Amino acid sequence: MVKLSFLFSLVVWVGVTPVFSGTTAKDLESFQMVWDTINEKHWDLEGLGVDWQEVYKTYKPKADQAESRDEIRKLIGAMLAELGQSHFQILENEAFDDLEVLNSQLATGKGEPGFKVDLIGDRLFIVSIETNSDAARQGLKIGSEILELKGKKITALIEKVKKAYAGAAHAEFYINRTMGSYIKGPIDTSLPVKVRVQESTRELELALAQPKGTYKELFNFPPFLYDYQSEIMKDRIGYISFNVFLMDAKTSFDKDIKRFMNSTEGLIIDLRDNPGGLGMLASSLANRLVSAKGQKLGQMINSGGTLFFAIFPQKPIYEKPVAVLINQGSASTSEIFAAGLQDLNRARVFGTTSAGAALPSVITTLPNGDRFQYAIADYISTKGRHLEGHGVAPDEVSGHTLESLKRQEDAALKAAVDWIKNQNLVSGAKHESL
Amino acid sequence: MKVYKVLALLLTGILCFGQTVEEIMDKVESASGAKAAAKHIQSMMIKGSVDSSMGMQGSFDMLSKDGGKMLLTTKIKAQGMELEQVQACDGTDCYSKDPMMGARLLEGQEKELFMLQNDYLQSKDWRTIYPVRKYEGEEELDGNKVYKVYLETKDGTAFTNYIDPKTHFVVKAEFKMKGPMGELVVSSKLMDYKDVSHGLMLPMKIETTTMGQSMSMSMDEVKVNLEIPDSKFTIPAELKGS
Repeated sequence: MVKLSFLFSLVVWVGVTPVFSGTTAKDLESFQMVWDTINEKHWDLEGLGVDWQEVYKTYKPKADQAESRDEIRKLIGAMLAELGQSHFQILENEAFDDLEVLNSQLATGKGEPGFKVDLIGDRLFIVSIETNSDAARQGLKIGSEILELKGKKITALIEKVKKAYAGAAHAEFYINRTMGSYIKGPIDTSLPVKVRVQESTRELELALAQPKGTYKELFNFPPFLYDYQSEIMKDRIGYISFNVFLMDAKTSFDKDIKRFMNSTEGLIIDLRDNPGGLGMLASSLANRLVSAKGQKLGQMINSGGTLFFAIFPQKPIYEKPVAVLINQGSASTSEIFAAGLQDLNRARVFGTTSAGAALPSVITTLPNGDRFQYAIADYISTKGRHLEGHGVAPDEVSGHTLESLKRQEDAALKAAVDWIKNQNLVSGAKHESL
Repeated sequence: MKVYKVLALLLTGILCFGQTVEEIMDKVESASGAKAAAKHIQSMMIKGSVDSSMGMQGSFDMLSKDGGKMLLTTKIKAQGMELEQVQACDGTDCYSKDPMMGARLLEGQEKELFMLQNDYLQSKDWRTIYPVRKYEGEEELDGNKVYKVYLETKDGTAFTNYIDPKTHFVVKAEFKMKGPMGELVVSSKLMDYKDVSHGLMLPMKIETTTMGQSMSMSMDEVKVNLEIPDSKFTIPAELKGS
């Protein structure tokens, strides 16, 4: 018989937009299917304190009266929000009412300016930049502050986005993703910005180019860009970053581990802004980092049993210091990976607290063609931590600060590098290779 | 006369409910045709397809040979992903290999479960395989009466089988899959029994549910007594001596 655990390559991934817009006749069937699915398959509605029967009585009459797909989608969204958990969403739907206009004006395309942004308080800064981008050529750097985007003041945008997500589960994750979407636009067009670079203010038109990566598909998600980067930094420190947990990442990771075995003294795995992917790949990558048998990265639990994120050591095994970088954009499988290695004392975690959205989920198609992602189990780390709603707290909080940005530093990366260098100083000897 | 009729009814009733688990299992074995078929079948090949509620489809190829040799190759496709898993036994050791988790030996209940699930002639040896067995009464399944039988191996792998009293086919099986991957409650419905060769009756369709997710397996082709070299079942070199 086909081994079922093999098929549990579950998707543990938080989608980009949490709320929906609606549809018509088959939509009532879709509404019913969503309610029925959660009623039958949620592992602990009672523990959540949600009276799902009452939820039905609240929303079903409204759904019956709905006059459009948009309206029913919003009702389904509001109904799912009653759970207050991640990984319950309808895919390919619009955002909140107040954001729809903004999104239509700002988040209009797939072209990117070659840098990433992050919020520090109520200010938006560039936190990483590609050296060969138009933005870099025009003098932008890490620490440059975005003051206006497409003629709109950043402070006003931030206020609207924060207001829209106020009280929502995983608000910080979505706020950052939304702000990041506003620096995009159609490829081969330009992005008008007003920026502060050190002490001077400038107005620029930045070229929007095809972003790095390859378009991939996974189950019923819309196509997305997959990007994997690796290098050996100075001080013989290996660096790996990727933005989705796909089998491609496992293949590349395995190759890099073999490459890094004798040529590095430590490894940094950067999972910032990685929203997850195939759940079992967390274990799959850990197979190359943990030599002891019988270990696991945690477990998922529902009424049907307990599935371990079991580690099966796979030679060659990298046994030198490992640092994992996370931030509020790290979700799902990224959190399972970071928390799991943290609990095993196999990796030290740097950055800022992750999204707290770590429930294994599946995606199914509704009668109206929308896709419905729903969580099927709870995740608990080896040390008994429920990550959902809490996130992974770094061993060393090292997010971007005004001071680190002034120095044009990547604070989490620097902290990880310093730690690895210190480990090797303390050990005083080179590690043996296998 | 009335008294005798009542007694006859009572006795008949007692007889209906008075079957031992051994009697039921003997009928299950007889219905399966395994004992008779085993005299004629030395090897088997089964090809089939897999469909899961998670949007994954695939195929499987199963080879088995006398002496506990078996090889199951499963290929799963989902949008954006193709995976192949191989599980096999050489008669002594068993292993599993896939690109996600690498290669590892199967041990304990995980190994035993794999061997039991893929030995389609096992019902001829039920007395040896299941020293612990219990008849747990009748239940209703999909509107029909079924016998409920508990079976446990000496290593503690336990099944609850639901048996159709008319055909004596196992129509549902529940078990706990215990192993390094965790402890999962698995429920399978077995249907469309067919004579695949020499009277051996196998279910052509199995629907399995675990952790709220379901998978359907169909057997599309069954052939027996093909020449299958022992090398097909060899344990990978990387696992020898582990």
